Parts: sequence; structure tokens; C-alpha cells
Amino acid sequence: MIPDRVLDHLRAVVDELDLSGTRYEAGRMIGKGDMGSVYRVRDRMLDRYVALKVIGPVGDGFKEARTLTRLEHPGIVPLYDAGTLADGRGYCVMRLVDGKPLRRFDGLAEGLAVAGKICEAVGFAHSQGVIHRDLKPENILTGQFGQVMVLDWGIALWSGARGSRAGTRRYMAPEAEVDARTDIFSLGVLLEEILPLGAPRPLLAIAAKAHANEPEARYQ
Amino acid sequence: MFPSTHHTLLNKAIRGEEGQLNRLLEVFAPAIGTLKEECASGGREVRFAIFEAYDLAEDTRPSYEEVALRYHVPVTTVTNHMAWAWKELRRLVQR
Repeated sequence: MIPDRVLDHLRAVVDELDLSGTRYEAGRMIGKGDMGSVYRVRDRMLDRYVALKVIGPVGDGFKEARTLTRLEHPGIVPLYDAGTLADGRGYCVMRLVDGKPLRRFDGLAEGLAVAGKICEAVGFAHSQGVIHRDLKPENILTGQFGQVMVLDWGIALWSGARGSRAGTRRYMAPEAEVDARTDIFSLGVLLEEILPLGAPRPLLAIAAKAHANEPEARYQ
Repeated sequence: MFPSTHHTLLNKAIRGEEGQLNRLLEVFAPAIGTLKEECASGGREVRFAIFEAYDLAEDTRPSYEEVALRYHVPVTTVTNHMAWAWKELRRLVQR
């Protein structure tokens, strides 16, 4: 058994960024997960900053990149590039989104507008046969003009593929078998969290139906 | 199992991360084993020993100077061997 401290160190070693041979300049790490680490790097050719995700040892190769190519939507972070680093690790490059993680809104109209945009983006993914599986506030950024961007499709599941529960416990549906209703559950929890305190009861009922324990009781 | 590891595993299990942790262990444990075997068969035991002394240290991680003294090599050899081991580790965990 490898102690956690050693495991964390080895993960850092494996995550170390070598961008030689690419058009990107090393930058700072802005996110880290078991599926990979995300860096803010500069694209020398286009002179702009982008988000470069190095696919981690647990990651499923270029699956996230292939998922994003299916999902061209204003509410889903776009893929710019993908490739292989000098050390053999895969990477994908996405738009660097300047936004804040989802939060509770003070105004009902603003909260509902954002909730609607999230649902549109996730609904589009479902129409393309993709289930996100890890919808949570950290994976949804809101911009200063009200734009919404759903990120981190690293553990997304394509229709037809069998998948088990994954993601973050608070937003995770209880059922073992995953389908689009698994995301509906997460959306229900998110809706409750972003609506202002004292939101109208019918809206809270909609959120409660979305995150009902039984998948059949949710919106289909 | 190390007591601290057990404690952390327990915490992660409570937070629902035990699956991810186990997947990481499944990736790194065989990679380290393969690295050790490859070093032994290639006459590179010192490289693995230096990697083990520094990267697999369970308590306080020694300085490069301390590792160099322990294996009677210059510090630059330690850094070179470690850079090689890290590159190999990255390759092995990607397989």
C-alpha cells in the first residue's frame, strides 16, 4: 500500500508540465482532479491564454476531447486543440473561461435565467447522447454578462455505454445505473441551491421533483 | 496498512472518493513495480534506489544532498537519475 502522502507526491510528479514541442508556454495550474490537471497557458501562435488539460493516469485518453467535439453549444466550453506531450501524456486545449462558480443568486429572475441556460446546455448534450455525470457548482461558470459555461466533461458517458455512479456525492443520484435522469437529479439539487432564499414554492417543487430519489419520479 | 493511510482512506470513503483513490493506487502500484524490474534488469539499481529514497519516502523527504551522500554520487547525478525516473514513471502510468 502506498501512503497518501507518497501518492500525492507521485501524482504531482506525473502532473509536471513539459510543453516542449507544442505551441504553448507553461503557466500556472488552475485546477486539479483525478481525471487530469488544468493549466492556464499561453498559445504562442495566436497570442492568447487558453486552458490546457493534461489527461491524468486515471483519465480515459482523449474521450473528453472527443466528447467536446460533439457538443458545440454556447453553454459548453469549446475545444480548441488536442495532442500529445513530449512525455507521452495526452492534452486538450479549451477556451479559458473567465467566470465564477455557480452560487446562490439574490434575484429570482437572474437565478432562473442562469438555471435555464444550464438546462439548455445539458439538454443539448443529452440530445447528442452525452451524460455529464458530474454537474456541480464548480463545473459551471457564470460570466459577468450572464453567460453560463458547463465545464469538465472528463467523466461524461456516451449513450449506449454502460456506466456506474460517479461524481460528487451531494449532487449524485442514488441509482446505480446511469442515464440522462442522473443529470436531471444533479440539476434539481443545483436549482435549489441557486434560487434565492424564499423562492416561490412551485419552483422549489420543480427542483424537488427533479431530484426525486426514484428516477421514474423525475422529469423524463 | 499504514495508520495514517487508513485514516485518510476512511475520510475519503466518507466523502465518496474511495473509488478514485483506489483507481490511483491501481495505476501507481504496478508502475512502481515495473520501474523497479526494469531498473534491475538494466543494471540501473542505483537509479531506482534514488527514486525510492526520495519519491517514496514515507516520512520526511530527504534533500538531494542527503540522497547524494547516501549513494556516494554527485548531486547532479541525483537530479539526472530522478528526472529519468520521473519520465519513466509518466510513461508507465500512461500505458
